[in-house]
Amino acid sequence: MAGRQERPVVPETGPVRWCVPGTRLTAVAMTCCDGAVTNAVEESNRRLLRARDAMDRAYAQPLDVPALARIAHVSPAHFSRTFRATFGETPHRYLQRRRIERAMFLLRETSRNVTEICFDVGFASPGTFSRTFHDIVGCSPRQYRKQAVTTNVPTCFTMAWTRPGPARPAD
Amino acid sequence: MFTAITHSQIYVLDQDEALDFYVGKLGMEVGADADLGFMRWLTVNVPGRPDRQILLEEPGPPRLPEETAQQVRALLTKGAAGGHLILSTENCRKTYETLRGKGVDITEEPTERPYGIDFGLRDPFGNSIRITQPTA
Repeated sequence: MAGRQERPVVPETGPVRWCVPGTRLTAVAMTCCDGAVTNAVEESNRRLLRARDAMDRAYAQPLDVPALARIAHVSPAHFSRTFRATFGETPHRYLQRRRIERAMFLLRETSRNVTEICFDVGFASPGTFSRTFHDIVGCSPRQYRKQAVTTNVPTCFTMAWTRPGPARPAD
Repeated sequence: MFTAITHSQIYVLDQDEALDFYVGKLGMEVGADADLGFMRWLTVNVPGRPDRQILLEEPGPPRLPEETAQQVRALLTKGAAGGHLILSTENCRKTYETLRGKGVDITEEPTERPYGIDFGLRDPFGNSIRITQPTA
């Protein structure tokens, strides 16, 4: 009995488990395109990440929720809800911040004018672009260009760390 | 004080899937694949460069409690577990075409940078990988 008492105590209560430890591969096994993700939450995360990657890659295209939901293999309503639950902001806001981050880059590194940059990064109207830029960055594109300094580190990190604004829920 | 970086680690959800991807698709070679009993020590390296190993580790017991491992897996699949690799190549566009043909998840097309030309991809689990052709 002494031996039993020395065993570490594993609490049986706590957060709801997605699966029983040790049976992860069979208890909630699901099929997936690459077969690598076997848990339902992990599969959902990975699919949403694929859609989020598509926004980072194709930010200049007219991406909409139905197109992104198709990438994630879910319904549009489910996509927006689970994206927000997973990444803490709506897909629309995420895409806006990606586009504004690209606009900030172009304002810093090129001499293209503000209207050209607006269309370069996927906005359909200069008015929406200026309003969104100001909302996220806190100043106008022209003001930003005057005060900007250039950076020179691997671009994937610049992209992630110079994305303006906190990842806050917003519509 | 130090002489080299020899091992780095990234988390993967499944080591067999990781081998399919890192060796089968990216063309890296197995550095070590040993069943230590308590874990499978699995590393890959760039072909011919065994001096720099990447450990492909599955989160789980006994090293991590199952609850913690679940959190790691959730973060990994969100792309938030911190796994980053930057690999260099002699021909970025050719490598891009090869890997795109193999169906890997491209996150960014080849793009000219101040330091060279590079593109981005993601492994099947959520780690991000950058392939760079440095400016000569």
